[in-house]
Amino acid sequence: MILEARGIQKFYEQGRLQVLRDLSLELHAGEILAVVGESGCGKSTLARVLAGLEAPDAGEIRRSQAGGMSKHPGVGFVFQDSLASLHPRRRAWQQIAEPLAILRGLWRPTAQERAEAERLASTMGLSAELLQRYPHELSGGQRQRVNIARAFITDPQLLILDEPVSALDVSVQAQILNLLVDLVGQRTSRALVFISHDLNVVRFLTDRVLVMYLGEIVESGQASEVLRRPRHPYTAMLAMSDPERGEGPPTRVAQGEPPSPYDRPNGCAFASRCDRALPKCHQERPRFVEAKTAGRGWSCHNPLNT
Amino acid sequence: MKGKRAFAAFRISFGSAGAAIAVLVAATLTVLAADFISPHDPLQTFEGAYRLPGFWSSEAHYDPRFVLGTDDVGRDVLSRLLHGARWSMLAGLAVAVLATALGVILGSFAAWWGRSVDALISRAMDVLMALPSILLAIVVVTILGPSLLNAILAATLTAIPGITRVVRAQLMLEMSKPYVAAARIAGAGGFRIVLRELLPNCGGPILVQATLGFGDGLLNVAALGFLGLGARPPAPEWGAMLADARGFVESDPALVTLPGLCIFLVIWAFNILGDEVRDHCDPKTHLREAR
Repeated sequence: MILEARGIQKFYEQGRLQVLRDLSLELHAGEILAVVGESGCGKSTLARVLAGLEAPDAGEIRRSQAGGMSKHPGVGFVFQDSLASLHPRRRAWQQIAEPLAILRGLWRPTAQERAEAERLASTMGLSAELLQRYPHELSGGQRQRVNIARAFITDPQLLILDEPVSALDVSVQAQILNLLVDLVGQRTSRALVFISHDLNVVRFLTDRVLVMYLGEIVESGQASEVLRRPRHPYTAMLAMSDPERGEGPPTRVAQGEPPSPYDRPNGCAFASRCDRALPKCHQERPRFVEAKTAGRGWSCHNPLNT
Repeated sequence: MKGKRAFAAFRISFGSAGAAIAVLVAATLTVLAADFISPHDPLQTFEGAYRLPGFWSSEAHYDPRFVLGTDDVGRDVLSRLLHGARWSMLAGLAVAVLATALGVILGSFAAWWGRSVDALISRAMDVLMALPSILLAIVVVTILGPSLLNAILAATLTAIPGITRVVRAQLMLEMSKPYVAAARIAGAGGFRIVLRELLPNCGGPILVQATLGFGDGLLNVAALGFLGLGARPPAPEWGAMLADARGFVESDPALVTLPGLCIFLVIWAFNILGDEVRDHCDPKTHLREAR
């Protein structure tokens, strides 16, 4: 197992705002896990917590250590904003080589690190000429390649991508996603967490999906299964409101806004927007039910497709 | 190509900026060559040549040996002004370098090393800022004793809070950007992040503050000199020259006007240069032009 998280809680604003609530997940080698949900559901916070950028307020995260190399960070991270996530005054090759220099305790990358960075970059379609450029001289797709190369260069066990293609053109999105599929396919010892609001991307790339709503996991399972036969009405709503589903106009558009995380309802957080809500849903918080299939589960009093 | 790039990066729009650069180049050359270009020893007193007027005077007792006249003890004003540039400019430089170095160190600690360090440094800076800078400088010099070195230390102390605040704010702004998070994930430690990620991207605002600090430092050292708390007589420091000439404001206004004009010109030039540096060090305009 690459990573195990148990009962993660995360609060902001001195505890007034809960962004992650009792969140647990496991990640195995070779797995690609997608985390989907609307804006503000806590998926980016989850990514930051899993990467160790923020400490959870409760719960624990266990990561397997890469064979005795305690200095190895073991995590690669790709951010949504491809420009802001690159050092403004470093050339592309320096960006890619920097994590190697850190790992090896060097103050700056040497010719050795540069050669390794160039070797990896060339497999990603970044020419030597592009590697000489500064971030603002590259296109969005090229920048995101540099970001991915930087995340991969130390060969981390866990790669976390926080909406890596959301800011890119559709055609460039496909190139980047193909690149990711290739990179992950090559090495079965690593796992990948893919944060996205785009279900098309999820379908294309991932094995397993977690659906998040207001800081909680409301449904999980194999990507094809979850999207084809959603159990939680929220998942169904997400799947149906995807305009690129290719089956005519969205039939059930998402209604309303999620409730304020400052004033969390007693019962199911989704009940106020749900057309299948029972009286119980407004009073009692649903438990996460695990199905017979491993990894499949949902938290709903009145699930679909039963 | 390389030369053209460097030229583009440092191209200065002419106008007031050009004039400011000219003033500063002239002042710098004077600092270097004061011994060769001044007609007399700045400390030499000429018997009988007291408070002679300069070239502007049509009176019979204008002495062509003293183009800008002489002071009350018969020293050549031009020579004293030229040597005074050395004192004042070096004092300003010392203040700018010391205050910037300490401000960068304090600001970096405040921004990076946790809340308690930040609170300690920031409140200390608030206290320093709450006192008028010249008053603070006077207190410091009173404690340490009047000398040019102590005036420089006092002016440095008054300049530190401004630079520390700018450094801290700029670092905190940069810290929120994902490239810094990327370095943290890659395992970079605090010193590495501050020195390799944050400071290189805060150079512009820090350079602006350092430039302005040069002018302010020069002014504060001159003010302390004027109050008799800085350079000791007979040193030809501009502020001290003003103080010496105080008694002759009505009879010989040139004696206070000339050093005052020198102080004004140099400080004006540094402020204009600071603005120009600010425009040129914005990473976006700078890098775009440097291409």
